[in-house]
Amino acid sequence: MSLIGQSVKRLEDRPLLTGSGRFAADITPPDVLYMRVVRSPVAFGRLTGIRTAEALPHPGAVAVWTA
Amino acid sequence: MSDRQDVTFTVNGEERVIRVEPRRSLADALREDCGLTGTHFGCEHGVCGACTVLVDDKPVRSCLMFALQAEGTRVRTVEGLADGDKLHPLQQAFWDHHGLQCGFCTPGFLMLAVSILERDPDIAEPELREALSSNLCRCTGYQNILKSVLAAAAEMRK
Repeated sequence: MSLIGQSVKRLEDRPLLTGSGRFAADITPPDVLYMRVVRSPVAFGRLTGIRTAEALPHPGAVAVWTA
Repeated sequence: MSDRQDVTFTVNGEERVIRVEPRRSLADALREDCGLTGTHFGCEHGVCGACTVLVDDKPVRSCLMFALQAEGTRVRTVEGLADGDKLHPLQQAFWDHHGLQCGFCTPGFLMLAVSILERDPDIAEPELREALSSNLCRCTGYQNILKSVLAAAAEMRK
């Protein structure tokens, strides 16, 4: 039990300290898609419909989903 | 977009020419156009300091600066701190004094601390505490960051 009471050197620190760590935002998988959530600009209102017809034909648009 | 413009600047001593949209932030340019992902986006509106880099030796929030504004400047990022395998005294001190946990804010803190110690190598603890309050860290509680920078300052004075 020689480690008890000892300060242990972390193995992950060198990459984190030199900028070579890998966080989710640092990785771009092939064929990655980007998503944007569009929220209501109205703080308190009644939703009567969502028009998506103009969004989908945009070049590169893959899908438009509504909840 | 056809309105891209060239930016010529040096990054960590290396001259770079990149072609960017006028609205591109310096942080995006470093990450996407220069491939230097050590500079992190935290809040993207200048509050957290995770994206801090040095522009002509001054610390800036690279999320708030346009890449075009870096024309002709000398930019330093976390990737340029170590000398080959030899860590910068600040990097070594952060490691030795547990100045990081998840490591996300660390590049920003390191660059901020570099600028602080280059400007004032003998900075007193209260002033250092104040200066380090520019950046946010959600892991460490800041005490070990303070300890790390004080230790590095002592090492760099040797």
